[in-house]
Amino acid sequence: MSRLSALLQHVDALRITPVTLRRHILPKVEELTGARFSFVAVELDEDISLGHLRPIEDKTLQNGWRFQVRYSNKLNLCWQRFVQCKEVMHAFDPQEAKANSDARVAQLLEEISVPLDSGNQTPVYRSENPTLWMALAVFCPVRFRNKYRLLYEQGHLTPYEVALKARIPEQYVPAMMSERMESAEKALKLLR
Amino acid sequence: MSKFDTLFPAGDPTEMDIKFFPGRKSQVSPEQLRDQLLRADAQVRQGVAVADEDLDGNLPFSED
Repeated sequence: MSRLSALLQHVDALRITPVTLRRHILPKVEELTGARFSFVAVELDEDISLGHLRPIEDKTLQNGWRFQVRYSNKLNLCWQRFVQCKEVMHAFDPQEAKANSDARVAQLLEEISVPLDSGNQTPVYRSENPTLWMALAVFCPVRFRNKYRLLYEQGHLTPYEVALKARIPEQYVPAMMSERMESAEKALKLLR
Repeated sequence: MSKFDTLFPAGDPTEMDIKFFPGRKSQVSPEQLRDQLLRADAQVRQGVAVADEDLDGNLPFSED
């Protein structure tokens, strides 16, 4: 079983709503990947970026560093959770997708600025979108989607109401409730 | 020396990673993104960044 499959199985089996990053997701991610995280709210220009992930020195850890997730201090809780979780999901990135050198970071920044056509994208850049789907998959596990999909599709629940239950940004609800979610999850489980 | 040398702490870089959550504007330059990261670095160094250990841990949840 892949590490991502193990995480998804874990959150689904909890049978709770909403799934929280602190209590339910983060401990399992740290157990599965060995990565360690800290989080800080900072002043950012939200037009440019809502947050980022970077390694920082931590001499209390054996390897001497941990990940730090920085996020905009102006975000509401649902957006904070989503930005934090998306960045945490990068712990599952395969080796070739990690921006772990000056050259790879420079390339990533170039590609975010002017994306290449899909055939020429680097693995580092290609790892950005899957983590959005992964964040949706852990905050809205299969059990959650199955429970509310029909009500949502029949118009008995609005996107806002679904978002409020899962505590995710409303704009992601249509994607999360679509068939694309199922195929994205299936593909990611194989790769991560 | 590259502008990015200081982004990586000492240690084996194999598992290290730097990634971004997109902002609300689709057209951003590499320099603008880099500046956001350096701006956050400065806030952390100056102690004005707010460490968040609780995250969403106080969010009430219910069992299905």
